[in-house]
Amino acid sequence: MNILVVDDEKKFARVLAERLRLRGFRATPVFDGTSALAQLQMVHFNGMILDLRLPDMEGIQVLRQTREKFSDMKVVILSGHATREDFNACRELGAAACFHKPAKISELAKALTDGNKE
Amino acid sequence: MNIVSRLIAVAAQYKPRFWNAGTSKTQGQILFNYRKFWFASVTLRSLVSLVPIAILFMFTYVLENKAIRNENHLHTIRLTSNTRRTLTYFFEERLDALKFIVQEEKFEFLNNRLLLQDILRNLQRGFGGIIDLGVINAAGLQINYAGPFDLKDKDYRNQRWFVNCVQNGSYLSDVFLGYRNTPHLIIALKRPTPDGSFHILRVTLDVTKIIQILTSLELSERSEAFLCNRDGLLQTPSKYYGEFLQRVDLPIPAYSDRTQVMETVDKTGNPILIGYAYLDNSPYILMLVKRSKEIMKGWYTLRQEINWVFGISVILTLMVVLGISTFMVNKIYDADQTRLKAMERLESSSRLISIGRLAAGVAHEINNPLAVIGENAGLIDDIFNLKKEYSGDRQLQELIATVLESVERCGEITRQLLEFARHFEPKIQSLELKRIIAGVLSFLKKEASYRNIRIQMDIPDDFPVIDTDRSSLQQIFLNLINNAFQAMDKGGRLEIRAARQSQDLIRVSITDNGCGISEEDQQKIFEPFFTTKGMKEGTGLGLSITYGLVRKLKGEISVQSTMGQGTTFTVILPIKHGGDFRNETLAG
Repeated sequence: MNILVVDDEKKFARVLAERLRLRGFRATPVFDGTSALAQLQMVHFNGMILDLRLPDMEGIQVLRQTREKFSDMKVVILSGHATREDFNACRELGAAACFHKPAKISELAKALTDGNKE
Repeated sequence: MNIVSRLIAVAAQYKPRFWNAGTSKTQGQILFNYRKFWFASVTLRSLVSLVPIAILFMFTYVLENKAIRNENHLHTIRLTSNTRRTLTYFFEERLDALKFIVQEEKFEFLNNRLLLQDILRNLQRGFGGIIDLGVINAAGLQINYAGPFDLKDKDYRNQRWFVNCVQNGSYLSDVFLGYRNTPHLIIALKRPTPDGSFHILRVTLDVTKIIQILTSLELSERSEAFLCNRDGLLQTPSKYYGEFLQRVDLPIPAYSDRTQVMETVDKTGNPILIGYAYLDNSPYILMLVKRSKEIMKGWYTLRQEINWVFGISVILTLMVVLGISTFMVNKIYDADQTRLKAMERLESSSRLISIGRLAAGVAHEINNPLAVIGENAGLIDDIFNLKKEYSGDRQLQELIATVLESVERCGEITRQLLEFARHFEPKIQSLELKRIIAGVLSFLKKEASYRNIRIQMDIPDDFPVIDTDRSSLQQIFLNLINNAFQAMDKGGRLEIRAARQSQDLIRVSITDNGCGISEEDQQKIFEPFFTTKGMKEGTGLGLSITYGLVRKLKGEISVQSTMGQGTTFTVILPIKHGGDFRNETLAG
């Protein structure tokens, strides 16, 4: 499975990608919304782990655009300070799961795999 | 001593609630000196209610005193007058009897002793108090006598009564001892004889009859009636005012042909009332002496009653005044306390909002590095599990498990902090500005009326409904109006005006006519911890919080002020708030 990890905290994104790789995923870290959308255009991804606060745009916009173009892709939201309302909005837009940072890698992996099975 | 301390303890129990309010220096907001207010209320109410009572009682006092005095005077005059009439009649009756004898009888009795004794007997039978009867010839020799003494041939030529009678035709004498050495008085009548000469018919009267008349008056204790002559010699015995036939101890009143009353003092200084009358055709003055103390006895009792009534009225009035004043000031105090508490609650909620925002900020900032730690530790854990050289090292695995566990705990804490802050997050509602401001003013209405501050609200009827956060808006206006109140003295004037600024904006201005803010201070007024009120009164955060709130609602706030004339704060707010809040304290 090919996963895109989008988070402005570079160390976090890289390590998270590394850990996913250790679990048999293929994972690419990117650090802003624009690069994320560019990557999605170039390479096919099965899933995405998305932070809601990005330096160039709101994560929710990335989610919206992604869902419009790649409706079969499972998006998991991983945010440090999202409200319940934010999460509800994301789910309405089609997010597969939402997690607060810090989250357990096992749960993230499970959400991505479950999403893939659907 | 014990009783005093116990009394103080009892008084302390009834000490009104407000008594010590406003005395502690730590209390930030002192609206009133309640004690001074209470004293003023008690003084004013007492004056208003006690002065009329006092005046009324004074009038009653004076009037009653006068009435009782007048009545006593009248009574004394009446009694004196009646006694005078009785005495005058007593003397006239006897003189008339003599005249009758003189006219009826022939001259035979002049020398006939038996006949004279007959006449005396008749007289004694008809009128009491007659001792003897005598005839004196022109030479002053008593030529005939009937009575208990042997006074025939006594020579009266040089006696005053004889001389007087020869001159005036009749005579009523003082009381004197005479030859017989007992007190008596004489009525004498001159009778001309056909040969051109005359003789005098004389009766001697016993004083006891007159004393009887005087003692028969029913006089109160220490009061008495007596006769004295014009030289002031007592003609009847007196108990209190001198020896019989000696000078009376009282001043002799001036002559008057009518009955009079005189107020004076006796020789021991006691005030007395003297009723007196000069008896017609006689040397006597009738005197009726009363002790003022005795006759005013009734007045003293009455006065005591008046005093009691007055005292009780005053005490009752004072109790009611104290009760009402205490009740009233307590009510005001309670109302102030309630209001202060409401304001404190509001202030503390705004403090909580600040804390919440701080907490949210901290939680947010810590959360990212925490996530990095968590992921890195997770990666180490993964490596330990996958690589063979580490998989057997239980110590390393335990260490990393502890790190991961701690990260999870920290994550829980930051989540809770964010959840807490979320309670204070703004919520957009459609609000009527007029109602919001009216709600804020209801908190401050009491203070406004106490301090005589007039509030004028000028918001047009077609003012738009604005979409914004209620509690922020309330907080903004509460802070601004409260600020204006603190700038104003008694009798200030506060104007609240609202208008549409443009299609999307409204403008609210709050103008006071208080002390104003200097140019220099206007620059710094929204800075945190800037205050002109001194440390005790303000934290210097009010306006900076207000500034923050206005910015959060995507508005602008500005100040215009002239020293000594007043200050205007103007708030400009959008009519439609998009929903996302400008949160300037939170990064990124």
